[in-house]
Amino acid sequence: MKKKRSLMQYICAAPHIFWAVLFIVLPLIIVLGYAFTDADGNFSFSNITSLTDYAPIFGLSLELAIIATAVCLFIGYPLAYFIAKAKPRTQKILIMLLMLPMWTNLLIRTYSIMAILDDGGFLNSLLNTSFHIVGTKGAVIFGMVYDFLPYMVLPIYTCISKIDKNMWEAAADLGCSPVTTLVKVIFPLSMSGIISGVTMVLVPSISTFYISQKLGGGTFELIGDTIERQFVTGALNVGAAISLVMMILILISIGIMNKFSDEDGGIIV
Amino acid sequence: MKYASRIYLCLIFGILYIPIVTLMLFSFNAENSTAEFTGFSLKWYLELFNSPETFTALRNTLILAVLSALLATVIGTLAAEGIYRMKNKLVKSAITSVTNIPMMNPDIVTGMSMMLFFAAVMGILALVIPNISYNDIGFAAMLIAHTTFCLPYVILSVLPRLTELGDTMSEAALDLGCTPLQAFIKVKLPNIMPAVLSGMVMAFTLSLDDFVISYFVGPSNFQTLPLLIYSMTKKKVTPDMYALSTIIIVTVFILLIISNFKSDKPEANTRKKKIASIVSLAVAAVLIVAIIIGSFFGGSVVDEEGNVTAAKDVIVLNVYNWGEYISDGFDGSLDVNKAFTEYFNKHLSAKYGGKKVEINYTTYATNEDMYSKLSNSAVKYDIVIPSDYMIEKMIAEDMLLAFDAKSLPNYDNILDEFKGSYYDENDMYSVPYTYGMVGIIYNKTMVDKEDLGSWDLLWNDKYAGKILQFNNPRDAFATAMYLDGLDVNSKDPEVWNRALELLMIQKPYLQGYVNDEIFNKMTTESAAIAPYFVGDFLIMADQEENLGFYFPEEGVNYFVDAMCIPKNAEHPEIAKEYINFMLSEEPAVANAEYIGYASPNKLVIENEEYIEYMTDYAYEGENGETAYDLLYSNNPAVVNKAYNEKIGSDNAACYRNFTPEIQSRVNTLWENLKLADATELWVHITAITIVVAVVALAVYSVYIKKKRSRFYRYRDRENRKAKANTNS
Amino acid sequence: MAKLIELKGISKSYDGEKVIDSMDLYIRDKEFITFLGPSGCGKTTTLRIIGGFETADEGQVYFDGVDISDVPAYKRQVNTVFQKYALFPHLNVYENIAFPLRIKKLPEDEIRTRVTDMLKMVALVGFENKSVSTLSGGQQQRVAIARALVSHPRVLLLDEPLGALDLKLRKDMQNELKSIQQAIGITFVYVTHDQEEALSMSDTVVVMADGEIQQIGTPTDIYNEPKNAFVADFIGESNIIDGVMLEDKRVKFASHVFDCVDGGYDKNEAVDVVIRPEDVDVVAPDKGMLQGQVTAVTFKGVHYEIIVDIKGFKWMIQSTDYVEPDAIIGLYIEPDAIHIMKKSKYSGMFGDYSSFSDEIDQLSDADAALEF
Repeated sequence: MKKKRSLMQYICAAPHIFWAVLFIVLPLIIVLGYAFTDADGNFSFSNITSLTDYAPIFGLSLELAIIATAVCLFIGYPLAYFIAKAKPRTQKILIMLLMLPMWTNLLIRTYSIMAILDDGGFLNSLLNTSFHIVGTKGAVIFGMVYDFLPYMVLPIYTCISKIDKNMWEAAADLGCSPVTTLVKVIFPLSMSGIISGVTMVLVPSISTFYISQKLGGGTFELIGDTIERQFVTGALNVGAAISLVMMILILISIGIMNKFSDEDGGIIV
Repeated sequence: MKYASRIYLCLIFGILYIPIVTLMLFSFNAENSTAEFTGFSLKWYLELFNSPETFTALRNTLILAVLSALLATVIGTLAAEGIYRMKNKLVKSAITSVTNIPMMNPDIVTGMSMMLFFAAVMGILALVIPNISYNDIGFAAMLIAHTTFCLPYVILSVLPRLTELGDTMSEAALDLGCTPLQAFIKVKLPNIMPAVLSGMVMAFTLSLDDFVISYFVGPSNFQTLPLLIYSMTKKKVTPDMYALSTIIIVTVFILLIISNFKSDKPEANTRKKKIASIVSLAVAAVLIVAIIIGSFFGGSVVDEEGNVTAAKDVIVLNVYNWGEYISDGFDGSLDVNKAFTEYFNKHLSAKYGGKKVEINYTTYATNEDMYSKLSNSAVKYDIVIPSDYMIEKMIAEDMLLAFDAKSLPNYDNILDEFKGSYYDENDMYSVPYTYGMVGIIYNKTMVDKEDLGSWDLLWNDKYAGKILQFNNPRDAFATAMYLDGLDVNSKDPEVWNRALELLMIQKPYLQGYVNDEIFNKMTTESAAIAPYFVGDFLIMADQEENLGFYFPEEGVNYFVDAMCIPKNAEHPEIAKEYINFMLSEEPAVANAEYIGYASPNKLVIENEEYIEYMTDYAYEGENGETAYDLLYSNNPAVVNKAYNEKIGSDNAACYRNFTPEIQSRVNTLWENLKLADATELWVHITAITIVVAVVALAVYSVYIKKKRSRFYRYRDRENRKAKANTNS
Repeated sequence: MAKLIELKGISKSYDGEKVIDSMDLYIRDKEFITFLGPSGCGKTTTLRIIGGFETADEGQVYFDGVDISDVPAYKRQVNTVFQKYALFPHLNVYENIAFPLRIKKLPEDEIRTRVTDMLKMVALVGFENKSVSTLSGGQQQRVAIARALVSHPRVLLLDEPLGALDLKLRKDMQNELKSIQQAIGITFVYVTHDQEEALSMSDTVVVMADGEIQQIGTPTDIYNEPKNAFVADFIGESNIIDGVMLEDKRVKFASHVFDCVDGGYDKNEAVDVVIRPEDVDVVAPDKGMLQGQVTAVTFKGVHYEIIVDIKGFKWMIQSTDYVEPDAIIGLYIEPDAIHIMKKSKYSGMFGDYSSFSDEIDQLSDADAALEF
């Protein structure tokens, strides 16, 4: 029996292990290879050392992504909280409404935002004003928040709605007002949802290149734009090096976040 | 509290839906504008249904999404079972971590790694099968890539359900005489089915929406909807994409409503709900199948007698062109590609063994996009239409076929001055398609007349915030170089540094660096001044009467786009037939009218209908010139006379191919330009505040925790010590 | 003892179904009161109304003479031990207990003293730093009790707190709860469907069914003087027989006239007669007041459970002597073993053992356990 069991586990997992090694690990090794070779295929550190030139772009991307993520959390947490507290039927409808825009392609959504916010766009022509929004960092942050907000709300909502009803009552029973309940009990208990929400918003925000192209007006570049430009101009080695560094940074930060949230299951506020 | 939450929900959902509602509104717009609603019309829906390109892309997207979702579901469900059974913690965590990589990794990195991987695969395959092209494995590559990034989501959905279910059920099944396989299929699977299905739906939607990974991996013969949209938005989104989005969102909305349909009586609930969800699933499935079958049927070649030609007798001609660079049958114009297929199938088919032809038409936004597609991913195209300097580069790199353009019967239609150009002196590789010059577009109501005439308008601080600049290094640097009389093909780094200085001076006055967004920004009067191509200007002028145009006196870029055949083309003979067809009067005129660029074709310039069309065009210059005058009276040699003399060459204003050193130099300078004052102070401050706040919160929380627990942690430690002592 | 909590005319319905029907009840200070009843009888809802988790559709709740009907849960001087404990998984044992004190922002020293006292009381010293999810059910239970008591509430509400524990642990906890209550001297309001638990712990038992109070009294009253067939059946085993009150202290049932100790009924009034199984003596057929045939005998450890068919009505008798199945036996009943009740809507529904089996009993227990 024991033998059979161990056999089954490998038969089941085998296609996936094969797939993962071939199509996840191997491509990353190739990226690693490109990052450490020059255009002629010789081993070289030049790509990695040249990355210091891109530090400001990295910095800007990170900053914008952090702000966008914070705004998403700030807007998304109450949203998730209110949805989770609504009646079951209302909850269903609200989640549906939240997901619906995702069925419009991200590119179209972003383009539509641009068409609305542009200097001569729908908003300005409607109000007869001339707000300059597209082309600012604020517009890029808005685009990120708009496009990725559901990624923040969904995990938090799932987390909050899974919290036992007794927890809310126990908190009230022990003297927490609704606000204190939220701060002292619900917020710490939804930490895992927050962590996954933050991850799901931060990662695409750092690496986006479409949003910054459309809403940033081209006056600045994000790291995604840089990789895309390297790819287009055929400078694959540098592109690979940037990707590699970005990947490592992101994996490390995700690791730290998970570690932090796992430790005794949350934070005390 | 109740009101606060309602107001908040309304507010956020309102903002969330404004862009969606707006795009729905504009899908009914009478004009080709996404900013000004001029009237209700269904023409974009008609346009959408008449666009085979869109339908093929939609079909491709759906096929890919269905297949990759299925594949990911099967592999992922099995994997979840395998991972669940694993007892070795180390192996287990190793596998789950690797699985999660595509989910955690930015799409762009996954895409890049996939692209490099498939390039390597191509390298190996080419050793075995000499004539293989990327298109042959392109679909497989897309399927693999999509399945790979969908897999973790399926596993993530199924695994918790398996853990929740536990072993008792399958043990009961084994006890009752099932084999392990039967136990899995008959007992476990039905119980984890909801999780499997939700994983599959998630995979389906992810694949449907993916752009980034497809962008890196996608072959030329398999364009998905997001890729199509991307190539469009690089130029200008026409409301037909809005129409498509509207259809999709309304369909999904209706499906969701059906599946959430709930009767008021609770006892009838489960049954009705079940029926409703089955109905909605069935409707969705039928829709998908209908679209796939329908577009297959639409895509196969049907001749006039209605005989369907089997796929093996169909030659697929891969045409790779600029976006919006061919007459496509819109608004009653000639559909040139369709005309060629009909012409070929009627008159030329016999010459090629009775085979029919079908055109696979894809588009690019820049010469560099096209070049990288062609050189990196081993994609095979039969026709490409690069610009002059790119042709020079490709010839130098032996990427183009020397098919001897002079030998084409219709080559004589080309005007003499476009023969034997510097980039292809013997007319071996290319046939001119269009030509044009860059000039400055300005808004007559916003710019004073006395400021016109020179490139320095782009540096005029009077119009700060209303000026646009090219968002590619070559064209942007050129504007500065013409202004200052510098050689746009200079190999001297100092010259480029000087140009950079000028661009740095200009940057604060700019509204943005843009490419094709210029269309939108100029026609909606978002900006007042922009350098752009004269042909594109005419399209804008048609939509916005306040726009004017001039060629700056210092000299301007002059370019030729020409049809070429890549060396690895699969059907060079048919490609030649295609090029020859494009030179004949009817398609050439249709193209010239549609594109708006100047034509190097005698038959076009002398065509009465064309002259009339161009003369009546909705444009009038400051001195009463017509569109025709604007296009054809401003001979590049005359416009650039001063500049050419200054630099000392006949084609000084034309771009020449860069050496790699200069290319990388220009790239670096361009990055410097983009980086200059890139980050505003508030961005720094806000980001740092957030980081500091989060860290402070974390530290505070840890500190409080430690402080509060100090006394018993101390005791715990003592206990442990005591225990250790007694043990030893 | 003064009235601490008073419910006046409380009604509550869910989806149009009445769960509590105009209930009046008062709870005295420092007493151990138990709401006892089958699932769906409204006992938990009553508790939740006192706790402030539900609002009554009609009626008022008074606490110490003050109407607290609209006071939210977190402002009431009442704490609850939840059925599934509802410990906070993000906090360790110490912090769980300290939680209500931290909400009140008490000084750290006082928190430490009070939490340590509580830990001593529930015998969990040394567990401070343990995560609550690693504790056993009994330990979690103690943490929940300590957490509810640490802020010195005047009333502790316990919602079937022992439901999830095994039998042995349950007995221990019953004793412990009772001694805690006596030690700290506050009111305990206890909800259970287990009659034995109710009888052994409570000062006062409130028997509820169908959203109404059936009887309030001390455990002995409830057992010895059930008010109607429902109470008689729910509390212990009972044979409930239709009878006719001939005059005071004389009742006729099973075609036999008995002496009894009850009076105050109309002449020839139809009544329910309750006879507890342990109060019937088995005698020789000719010496008994009634004769019947034994249909089943089950060994129960302390005694035998004998089902006797007397003229078509099946009686249950508990006897320490063994009798053969199918034997004809006589039954002897003392006058004070006969308890007379007025007819009620529950008459005829309970007290006949003709379809009795242990299994059905267990099934109905399981049903009751499902009630949360």
